[in-house]
Amino acid sequence: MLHAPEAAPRPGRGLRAGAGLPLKPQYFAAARARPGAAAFYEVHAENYLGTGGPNQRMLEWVRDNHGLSIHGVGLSIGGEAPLDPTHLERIAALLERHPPDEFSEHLAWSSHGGQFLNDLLPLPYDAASLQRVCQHIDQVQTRLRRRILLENPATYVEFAQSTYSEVDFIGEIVKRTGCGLLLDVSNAHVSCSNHGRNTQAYLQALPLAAVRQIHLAGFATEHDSAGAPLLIDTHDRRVAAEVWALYRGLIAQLGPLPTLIEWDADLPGFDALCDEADKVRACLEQYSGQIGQAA
Amino acid sequence: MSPHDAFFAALHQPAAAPPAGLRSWNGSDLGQRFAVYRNNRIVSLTAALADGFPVLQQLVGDACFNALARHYIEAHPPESPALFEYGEALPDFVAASAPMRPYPYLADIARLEWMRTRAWHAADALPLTAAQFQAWLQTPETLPERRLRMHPSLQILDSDYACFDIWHAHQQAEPPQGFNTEGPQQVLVLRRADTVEVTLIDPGVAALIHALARGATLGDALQAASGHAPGFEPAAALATLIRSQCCCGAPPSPEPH
Repeated sequence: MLHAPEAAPRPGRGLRAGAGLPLKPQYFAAARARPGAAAFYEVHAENYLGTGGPNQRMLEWVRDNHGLSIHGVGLSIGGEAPLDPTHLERIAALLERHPPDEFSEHLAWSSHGGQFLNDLLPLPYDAASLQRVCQHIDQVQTRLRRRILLENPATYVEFAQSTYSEVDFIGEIVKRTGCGLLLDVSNAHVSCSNHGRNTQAYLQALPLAAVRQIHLAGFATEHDSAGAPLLIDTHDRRVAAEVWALYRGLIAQLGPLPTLIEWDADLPGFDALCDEADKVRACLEQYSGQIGQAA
Repeated sequence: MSPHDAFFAALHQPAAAPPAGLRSWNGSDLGQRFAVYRNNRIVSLTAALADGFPVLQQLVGDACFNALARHYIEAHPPESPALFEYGEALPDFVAASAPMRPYPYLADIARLEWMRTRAWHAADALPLTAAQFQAWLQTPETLPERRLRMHPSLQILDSDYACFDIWHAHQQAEPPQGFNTEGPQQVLVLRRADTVEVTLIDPGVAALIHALARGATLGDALQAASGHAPGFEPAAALATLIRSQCCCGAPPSPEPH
């Protein structure tokens, strides 16, 4: 009897629980040399919108051997203006060419007045804002023909006009659009510290049943003019101990989840990333007997 | 003015107060908190430019590059989130920058680095093999009428300066003690086997490739190159062309079958 060869991950299947690493051109060779380093790789969509070349081949390699998460940083879902149709089409074409196991974006805006600002900026949490964000997510999910994941933000200021708490705002979005949640535990910790909130209470008030992926990253600690910690979401160092503690608590509660180590500045060698991935694996294995090297 | 408008406007005015309507939980200074966003925009866009123009950055130094980037970001803010496409106008911006005027080769170095980024992301195409060229040589009478399609990543920098030498001297871990800047030099940028190569080529070869890329027949291109570069040797130039693998695609055959 003939057996079909094992198929590559199919679109919409979702990532399997395991440790994920960010893939940048600096890591292409090291990642190929260590196929067990990560269960999945995540790339920033905007860096892979070229026509050909090594980036495109690397995505093919990931899809043949690993889970693939494509993470958008430029759709500006929290923007005031309509979504940029050209950019949405380019993202759609990328996802058709390299169908990922997940596509995620941010609860933030990054473009305004025809300019891309290359930062994830905060928005007021009120009824008008909620309606606009939900419209944008509907438009993205319709065009991409998939459920997307939305990531909770790291913020430094709040808006006086907000009438929703962040968790209620996110809860409403998930309810109205059916999108999943990419829970960035570091962002939760950064934002709660920066706004005098209890991180545990914040996490427990999120729609945790919608969490499909977790992000962990390093942050810098400064202080505001009142002497309180002001944490900056820098993605330039190892994950902090307090974030690991929150993460372990969440995995104990929710079970194993696909978990990405983020590192976007002051890039370390691939070994340092693998160390962080090992910590993720150790935690996931503690709560499941089934997580293998390349699960 | 919407919250987004106010936020956007304040991002672009380093000395201005933060936009109205913001709050902090403990009443701490909003100016300091808002400065994180101002800083993120400039620093991250500067880093994006530094990724694309590392030799330019080495040549002018970090402080000068940061100032150049800040001015460039204000004059030419990115429109698209695809930042690998950001920086196209930087070479001309460098050329027009007064502090850069004593170093006229800097703009060409920026052009060379922009070509490298474009080559990295350019479309894929299989190079024409030496065997395929050999087959053409079996019917030499058809050669002059052949046309060649260049690899999509191929670009040539015709510089008045020694841009290949300058670029090459800055590929080591340690900055060079000194380097030649006197040109002219023709530099070929081409992606081969997933590596973007930077090669010094003869003026004649450059002229030949320019003509072929414009769609000229091989015969016309060789003639143009001979006129352009005294002492041009067609056979040697063709050998270079084959070796470099810069041609690709099946050119139209004079005898379709």
